[in-house]
This record gives sequence, structure tokens and C-alpha cells, in this order.
Amino acid sequence: MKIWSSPSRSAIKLAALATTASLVLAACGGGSDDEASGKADADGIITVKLGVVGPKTGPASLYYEYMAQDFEAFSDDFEEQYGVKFDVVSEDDQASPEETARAVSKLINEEGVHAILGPPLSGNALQVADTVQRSGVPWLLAGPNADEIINYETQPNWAFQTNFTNQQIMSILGERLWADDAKVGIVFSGDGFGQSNLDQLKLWAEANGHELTVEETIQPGAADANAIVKRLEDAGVESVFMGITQGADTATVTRSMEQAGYAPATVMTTGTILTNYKDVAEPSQWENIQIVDPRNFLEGGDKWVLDQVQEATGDAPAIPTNNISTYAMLDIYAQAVKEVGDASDKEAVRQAIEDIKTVHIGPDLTIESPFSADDHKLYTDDPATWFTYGFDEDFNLVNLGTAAECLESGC
Amino acid sequence: MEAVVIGLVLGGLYALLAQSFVLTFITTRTLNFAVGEFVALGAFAAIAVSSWSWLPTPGKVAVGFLAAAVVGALVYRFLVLPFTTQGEHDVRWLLSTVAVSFVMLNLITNVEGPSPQRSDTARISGTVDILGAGVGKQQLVLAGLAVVISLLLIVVTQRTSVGLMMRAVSQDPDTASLMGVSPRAVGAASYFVAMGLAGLAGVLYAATVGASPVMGETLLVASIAVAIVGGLGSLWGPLLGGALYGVLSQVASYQWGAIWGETAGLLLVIVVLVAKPEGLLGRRMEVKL
Amino acid sequence: MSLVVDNAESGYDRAPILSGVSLRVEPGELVAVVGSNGAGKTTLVKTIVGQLALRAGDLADDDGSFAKLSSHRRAKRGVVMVPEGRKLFPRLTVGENIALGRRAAGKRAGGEDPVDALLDAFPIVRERWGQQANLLSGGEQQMVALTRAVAARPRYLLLDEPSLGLSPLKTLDVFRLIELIRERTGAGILLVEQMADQALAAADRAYVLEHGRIVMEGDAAKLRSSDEVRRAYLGVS
Repeated sequence: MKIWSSPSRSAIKLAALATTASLVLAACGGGSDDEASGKADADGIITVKLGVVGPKTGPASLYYEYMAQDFEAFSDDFEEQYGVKFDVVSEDDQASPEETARAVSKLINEEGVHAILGPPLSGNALQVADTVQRSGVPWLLAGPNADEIINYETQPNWAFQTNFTNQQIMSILGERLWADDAKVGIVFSGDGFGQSNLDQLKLWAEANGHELTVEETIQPGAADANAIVKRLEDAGVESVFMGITQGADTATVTRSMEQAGYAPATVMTTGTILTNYKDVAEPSQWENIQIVDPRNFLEGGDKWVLDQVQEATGDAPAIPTNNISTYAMLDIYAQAVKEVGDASDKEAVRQAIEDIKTVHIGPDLTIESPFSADDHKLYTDDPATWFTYGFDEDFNLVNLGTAAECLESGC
Repeated sequence: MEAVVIGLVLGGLYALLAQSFVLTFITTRTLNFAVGEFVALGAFAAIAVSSWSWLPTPGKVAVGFLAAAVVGALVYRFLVLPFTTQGEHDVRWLLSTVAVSFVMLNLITNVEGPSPQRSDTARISGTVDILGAGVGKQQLVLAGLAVVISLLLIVVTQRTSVGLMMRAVSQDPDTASLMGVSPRAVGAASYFVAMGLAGLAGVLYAATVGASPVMGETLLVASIAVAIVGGLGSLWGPLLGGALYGVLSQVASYQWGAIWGETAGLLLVIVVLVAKPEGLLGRRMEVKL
Repeated sequence: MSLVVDNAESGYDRAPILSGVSLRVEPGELVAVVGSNGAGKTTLVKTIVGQLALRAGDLADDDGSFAKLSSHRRAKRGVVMVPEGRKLFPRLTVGENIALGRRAAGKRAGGEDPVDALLDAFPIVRERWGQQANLLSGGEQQMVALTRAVAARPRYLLLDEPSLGLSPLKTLDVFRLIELIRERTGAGILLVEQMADQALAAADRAYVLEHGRIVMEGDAAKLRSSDEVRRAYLGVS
């Protein structure tokens, strides 16, 4: 079963042209109009000035693309459903910490946005965490997985995460990886996401009386991972976890595994493999790989979001996991604004987000009361609510059961 | 042993790109810092014609070579040559080729998008066992090609009249022009071949890792390192440099982890620069009076 | 049918060195340009072959003006120079250096090869054929440089200080070789020399260059015997 088709080449080109054109327009227009008062207009529509930070340009631009896709696909829905319209003011962070800092401070100080969505990359989000927290702007973190971004000691806390966190995935994965006292190795990308994966996996291992046998970094765009694989193999690692930002780098690792004839019993990774992996890998390289994720990509509301994106934009969802988490985040924020009735009353909006009753993901998936003062994470680490996926020959996801089921009976 | 085999194979890819630095350096005393983007250009050119079923694979590979080669010659004529006119100490080409790199990267990203695209042209799946090390056939082809092309270049420069012209221009462009040899034409031809080689490497490398705008960028540091270690003035240099760099960085990676691989390679560069600045096989630049 | 320099002006950077220089060389003729150090002799030949830009005036050969052509195209038309200091390609062999000279010959190649005659007359060049050029003595290098220029089948040959740095004996050899070249190639030769006496003795006609201008011209033998020239350039008071 094939779910999301890859974008055609002409579609990519069109998208590229459109992106270029919109960049030019944004540069000329400044992006915002005066209607974005945050209060209801004559028709009862509240226009929110939403700051969006992400890598619009450069090699990581898919991490901006998924946000743009969600706005394209769902803006009208949210306006219809909640009477909330997003006036997006976007800034390019070029995936660099310095640019992120600049972009965020511009959005807060110059643009006076009502809330900030992004940045999508953990390392950059960490960089500006204090700034946003101090500024008192609702911070919508739909992308980053690093737990370290939110320091719950600071209250009230302004940041909310609708992606799972690395601590969560490690508590789901830990038992799986160390099952039967297997030796465990991690390959992580040399960036904020990878580092957070490593830290959280080590924390989990320490807390549960295990030890991580091998830790290996892969640099983005590395030509090969032969040495990494060799070191895993020599150490007798039987369970490998890959915490790698770019699917293309994951492919480099699995290619080297195949080359070396190294087939560990368990190979786990994250939803990042859904991006950029398939096109540069072979079926024999992914047949053994599994991912865990709290989202059900194959049915229900999560799938609906992805289908809508494909339909509205004509392209495959740029980062499927994040397309969903962004949808959830916009739903939460729009509800909160609707309830308060004034997006510029940021403290009230923040409180409304924290108190949110029901999060809607598509028409038929709901998550009840996910947040509390010291829990701003949408998902929980209950293995019964997480899914385990493998891949068929065409790289379509195959649901292997919940994480709990896989723990009990193996997958 | 495994690290040595894999290092040698990996060194081949770097050697191929180092060769394009050496080629332009020999004849024009310039380096094209946009080589990484020419790698991507070749890869995307081959993808663009991948659906032409009437064109056999060698033809598609040739398209990758030619696309990069032609742009390379034009870049030389319009963006390198005009910035080398003030004599030997004129290094404005350094800035102009870096600018070319930025512009090409953005152009390619705008047209093709940032994601890696699958390339099936000249894709060879599978691995072979060499002395107990599993080596990808694709990588092996790249390494073999690096050796064959280096030898070919050496034979051409040593045995043909074109090669004689190249060597003359390399030693004294002013006097070469007194012999009816146009240093500009030789320079343009060198850029044509050198960037063509980068494009060729791109086509073959993309079959493994996919074509993306930044695919060449990550190879750039290693290739420059290889060229410097071997010596920018010697066509044998890239082979020796590639072998040394490849083996050293792999052995270090195996021993101490991947992060140390590149570090070890760059340490090698520093050692060579201190001990023999012209590179292991390079010739000390003669000071012209 | 001659090499014509018409009212030429040129120089380095902002400082003009030549101004209003006019001269001509007929085929088969040996013309000397004498003058003291810094008079602009080297500037003159470099301007003719295109290593320095012509700022005003014109340059022409049998096929018309070549003032706008680049250096290598002038060589291909048969305007060939042996630069000061020989300028052999140091790491090419003698044979390769001479082979490069042939690059410029183009359509003019064919017929009896004058190089053979030169090699017969000065067998030392042939003996050194496979040797790297920078290992040769100064005299040998000058022989090779002249042979290389002849391999280009020059219609007009410009010689810049061919005797520079050579012993009197070797200088004699070089002048003998120049004479032989004139005989075998029929080229018009422009000889720039500080050794004014020998140059004037060998030449048919001569120009005297001073501060970038032609100050005297005429029959070489007459100039050689004129008092002014003898005082100024031949060290005779």
C-alpha cells in the first residue's frame, strides 16, 4: 500500500519557483498587514500575527517546507472551524543558531508577533529557549524533539511541544533495545537532535541499570559510514539505534551495514527516516529497520493530515511527523485564541493552551487534556499508545503493533 | 587490513576531485572552489536525461561530464580569467570562484530542491569482497576510474602534443604564447576537463548517495586536502595523496571513531605543509626574476 | 611586403617608453636596433609580439595590421621572437622545446626544414636533444632558443639581446647562427643588441633608439662608421 507519492520533478521545480517568488514578495512586502490586531473583526474573525522561524533556504529547507505546506493545506480549515486566521510573518534561520537568534528577536521585538512557531531544529531551539521564555510569547514547538528546550523550573512556562520528545522515545525504545541484555550502540548525527538522542538514551540506560556499548557520530553528508559500522560490529553490538536528522545520512549508515554484511538483530530509528531516505537506499537496506512513533501514519486523523497535505499542495508531506505535529499545534493555538478572544493577551492564551481540553488531529482523532504546568508535551511515554512500524519493499510503512505488543511478543 | 582497503577505495573518490584541482592549478595557477557544485551539476544533468531511453548509459554519463565541462570552461573565461590579469600575486580569482560556488549552490537548490534525488544512471548495486573487506561496487568503480583517469592524464601530458602545450603553459605561459600556444585556450581546456571530471564523479557518486545540491560540498575539504598532500603541481599527486588520506582517515576512524577520521586527514595536511609545502610529489615553485 | 612599425607608442603602466617609433624590416633583411640600456629596445620587440600593449600607432606584416591580435596569433602569422634570456621551458627537453616551436609554423611548414640545416651546422643541439633544457649552458640554450624560433618558420624574426651573458666566443657562434638563419629561412630579422659593433657589422640596415625614439637610421655600415654612433655606442672617443 502506497500512501504518499513522491513529488514529481516538475512539481519540485514549481515549488522551488513558488518559494523563490514568495521570498521575493516577502522581501518587498514585509509580510504583515495591519489587520493582525489579534482581536475579532466585524465578521468575528481573529487575525493572529504568527511568527514562523525555519530554514527557508539551504540544505535543511524541508524543515521550513513542512510548515508552509500545513499553512497552505489547513489555514482555511482553522479559520472556518475556530474563526482564527493566521497572518504569517516568516523569518529564515538558515538552520544556523546565529540566524535563529536574530530571526526570533526580530519577530518578538520588531514584528511584535502574538506567538512563535519554530524553529524546527532542536539545536537552534535550544539556542533561543531563554530568549523566548523571557519575552513571554507563546512558543509553539511542533518540530524539535529535544527535552532540554523546556526548563520546567521556570514557571509559567511558555513553550509547548507537539512532537514526541527524545526522553519519551528512549523510554519506549530502551527496553526494546536492551531486550535479552543485548549490547546496544547508537549512531547519532552531529547536531542538536543527535546529541539530545544520545543524552536521553544514556540517561535512560543509567536509570535502568544498562550501559551503552558504542556511541558514534555521523557528520551530515558523510561519504561513508564504514568505520562506524565496523566499530559497532567489532564491539558485538546487537541492537542499533539511529538518531539521525537527515534520512540521507541514515541511508549512508544502512548502506555501510549492508556492505560490511553486518545485520544486528534490532535496528531502530525515528520518523526522520521518512524524509530523504527512500530515494537513496535499497530495499535490502531497510528490510530490518523499525521505527516507533506515537502517531498512526496509516489510519485515522494522522493519516488524514498527511493526505490533506498531499492533496492541497500536490507534494508529499515534507516531514510527515512534523506535518502532523504542526497541525496539532495550530489546532491547540487556534482553540486557545478563540477561547480568550484576543491573541494579544498572551498570558491568557498561554494559560488557555496549558488548560486545553481536547486536541483535534483531523476530524476523528482527539487527545484529551495533554498539558499541565510541568508537562508541555502532547504525547506520553505509555508504550501502549505508541506504534511500531516496519517497511515493505516499496518503503511503505507496515504497522507491526503497538510498542507494548512488540515488547511482549517481539516484532 | 579492512580499513586499508576501504581507505584506498574512498581515497579514489577524493583523488578524482583532487585531480580537477591539480589540472587547473598546473595550467592556470588557479583553483576552482566551486568544484563541489560542479559535482552536483553533473549529477543533476545525468538525472535530467535519465528518461531518454534512446541514450545508452555511457551517453548519460557523458552528458553529466559535458554539462559540468562546458559550464566550467565558461566560468574560466568569464569569472576566473578576468581576475588573474594583474600578475602572479593577483588572487581575486579566489573570491570569484567562491562566489561562483554560492551562486551555483543557490541556483541548483532553487531548481532542484534541497532533497537528495535518486539517480539510477550508472548505478551498480552490490558489494564485492576484497581481502575480507566488503566494498561497494559503485565505490570500486569510482576508485578504479580515478586511477585510470589519472594515468590517462599523465600519458596525455607526457606523450601528446596537447600535453606538451599544457606543460609549456604550466612552465611559462608568456613564452608559450610566443610559440603560438594560447595560454587562455589551454586554461579553458583544462577547466573543461577538470570540471567535466567533477561532473563525472558527481554522476557516479550520486548513484550511491543521491543527487543533492550539497553533495559535492562535503567532499571538498577532503579533496583539497588530497590535492595538497600529493602536491598541486603533480598529476601523480592525487593518487598518492588520495591513498594516504583515505587510509589514514579510515584507520583513525576505525581506531578512535569517525570524528577522528577527518581530523587525522587534516593533521596529515598540516604535517605535509610544514615538511614539504609543495606537496609530496610537487615541485618547489621557482621564483622568477 | 615587410614588417612595419608605424608611429608606435607603448610602455609599462602609466609611463610611456616608446613614442612615435616607426621602422620596417624587409624579408631576407637583417636590421639592427642599437641603443643604450633603457632606450626601449626590449619594449620595442615586446610590443611587436604583443607582450606589451600598443597604445597608439600600428603594426603590420604582409597580411596587414596585426596590432589587435593576441600574442599567440601573431606567432602563428610568423612574427616570432627569441626573448631576452632565451626563456626555454626549463623542464622540457631540448627536443620538446623545439617541437613547441613547430606549433606556430602551421601552414608555413612543409618544404625543406631549415631546422635540419641548423642542426647540421651546430651538432651540439642534436647531441643534447633528450636533455632537460635547464641543464644546458647559456650558449647551448641560445642555440636551442634560436632553433626553436626557426622551427616556427618565421617570416619575421625578432631577436632580443641574443648575445647577453655569453662569452665572446659563444657570441661569435650566435652571430654565425643568425647569418645561417637568414640564409635558410629568408625571414626578415630584427636584431636588438647592446653589442652594437657586432650587430652593425652583421646588419644590412640599422636604427638607433634613444629615450624611446628613433634618432638615426640608415645603412648599417655607414652608421657603424659615423662619428656620433662610434662615440655613443661603440666606446670610441
